[in-house]
Amino acid sequence: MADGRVAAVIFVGIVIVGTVTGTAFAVAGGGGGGGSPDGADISGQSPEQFQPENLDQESDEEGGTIDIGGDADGARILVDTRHSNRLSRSDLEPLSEAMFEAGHSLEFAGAPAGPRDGAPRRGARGAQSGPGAQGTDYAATLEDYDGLLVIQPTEGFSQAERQTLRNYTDAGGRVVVLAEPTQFAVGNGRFATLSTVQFGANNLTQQFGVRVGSEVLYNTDDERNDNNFKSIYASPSGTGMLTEGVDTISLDTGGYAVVGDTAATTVYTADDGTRTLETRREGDYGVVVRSGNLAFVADSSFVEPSELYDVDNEVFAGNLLEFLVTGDVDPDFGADRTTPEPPGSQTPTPPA
Amino acid sequence: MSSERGIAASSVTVYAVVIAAALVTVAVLAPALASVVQTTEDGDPTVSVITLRGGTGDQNVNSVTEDLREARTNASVEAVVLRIDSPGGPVDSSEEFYLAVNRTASEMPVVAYVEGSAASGGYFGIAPSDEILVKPSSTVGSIGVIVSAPLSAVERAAQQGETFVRSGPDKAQISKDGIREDIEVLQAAFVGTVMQHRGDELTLSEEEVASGDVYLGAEAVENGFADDVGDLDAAIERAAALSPEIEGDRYDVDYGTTSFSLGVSVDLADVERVDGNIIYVDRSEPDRTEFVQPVEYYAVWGVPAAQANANVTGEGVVLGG
Repeated sequence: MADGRVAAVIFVGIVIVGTVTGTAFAVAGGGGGGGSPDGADISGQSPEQFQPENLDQESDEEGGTIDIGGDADGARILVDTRHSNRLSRSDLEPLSEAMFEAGHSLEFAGAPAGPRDGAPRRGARGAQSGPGAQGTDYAATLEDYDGLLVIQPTEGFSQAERQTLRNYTDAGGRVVVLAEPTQFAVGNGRFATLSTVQFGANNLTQQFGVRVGSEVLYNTDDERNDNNFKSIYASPSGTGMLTEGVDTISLDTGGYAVVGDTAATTVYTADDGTRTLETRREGDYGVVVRSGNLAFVADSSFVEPSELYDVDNEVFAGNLLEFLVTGDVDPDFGADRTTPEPPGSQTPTPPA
Repeated sequence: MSSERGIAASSVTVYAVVIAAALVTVAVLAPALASVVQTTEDGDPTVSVITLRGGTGDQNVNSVTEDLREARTNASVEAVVLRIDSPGGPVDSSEEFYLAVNRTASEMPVVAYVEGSAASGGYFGIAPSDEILVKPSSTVGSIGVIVSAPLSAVERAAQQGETFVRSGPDKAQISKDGIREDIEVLQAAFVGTVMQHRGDELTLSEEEVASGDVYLGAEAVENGFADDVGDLDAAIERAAALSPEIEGDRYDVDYGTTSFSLGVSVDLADVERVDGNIIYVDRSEPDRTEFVQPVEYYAVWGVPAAQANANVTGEGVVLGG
């Protein structure tokens, strides 16, 4: 009252809803009779389904290291940041660490980190004019890198970019694309707001015979998910560099890859019983696909620190990085590149 | 600060105002009430109808728990009909509801009549009933647990945790993995309860039960979430029939609907929350840091009521390099 609040003393009516007859019985000397005295018989009050041994729901233990094999040395991998990618640089620090330890570097536009051994770079043009700069010659930029990591771009790739990447992979360069199915994202404001977020680069990946499926996957079998129905397990369905040393990976709110070309090969498949969230269709869903020098993963969250060390995710991440650094790109791949688009023609192509 | 939130641990003095006046009044009125009851019955056993309309929050559950305790301790009550219309509520109080019904059902027949819905925490509570009766429009199911914790809030909490000195790495921290683990534990207890009490009747697998679907009355009878279609009178008759202490139709029915009120003077601005007969009064001091429970787990059927939570902004795209 003294602080100015509207604090009139208010008569608070507390309505006690009770059984008048029951109250009357109790007060009038009920008790005894048919049932056990209250509190005397507690059998069933510590029921079996509440016992700790029946509620053991530990998450998968997190551990392991990100090892990047291969003979490559001083490789440089570019992280795409020019397509409104939904990524956090801080989330990728574990990958940057692993690359550094292996003698390579993971670089963002305008902030290249040199290789540990100081190996000379193939040209300096890309480093001087970051790929995010206006009028950048995309091919010239990529010439400086052994591989390209594209994480959840929400804008499409222009025709020139798509052609450049086709030339790049044809010349031995490696590309890894991490894609998310269309889903909601919760904003950071005081009031939670939702927005739909859509993978924007199907127009790129379709050139390689793969695109992201339209739905999130889930699996309600507790043995086939990591403590949540949307954190599904997947296992290798093929052999090769991408599956080496991996038994199981977990993908959180991931999707599936749609393969439309025999050149694209599914290398990981979601566990049995996995369904699509919207239409509940059960099937064999490929989640990682390789198409020549492009690897496609229908999830991007597994590289985040909270997911990176779940089950064998760290081994899988190491395999993807090894895939990138062992690319053998022809340094002159861009020499016969098509004429760069004039400034202003970089309008993103709508996702197909 | 919302009165719905937890108590600020460091700064709220909790005044448990046990309403002595209520007890005094009851004591005074009891003989008269007893005489009223005695004049309307003839010594026959009683079927007590206990009603829960609303969420399975602390206040409602405490009220029902007291009613159930009263039924158990009242010598003349030989069966209970639990009339319910509830979409559930917080997991902790929903478990209280379950345990109270479970204890009652271990001592006398309990028949649940789903007046409107018995979903999520509401169904948690009636699962131990000997029989569950529904109408075609009744809604049951929604077995599962939710927590309103956007990942951005989880991340923000982690950052806030670095703004004060903590005694250990897990102190005052929440994480997505931790929340998911908690949800799975609570879900396992919930699903386990449904399977424990309804497993023989259910035609659904445990995995299907755990999917969280809801069912209208007719489908619920078919899949075993409910036993039969009927109204309140049918539930009363079933409860009486299940009791070995009741012969034929020689029983009374206590609907327990009469209410009366007592008053106490409280500065409303200081009331933190009312929990049954206990009023928690906020005596927080403005200069002190207050702490709130970061997340609360719900066994509820529904969606968040806040408009902001349902506000989809469209093709929004954020972030970038």
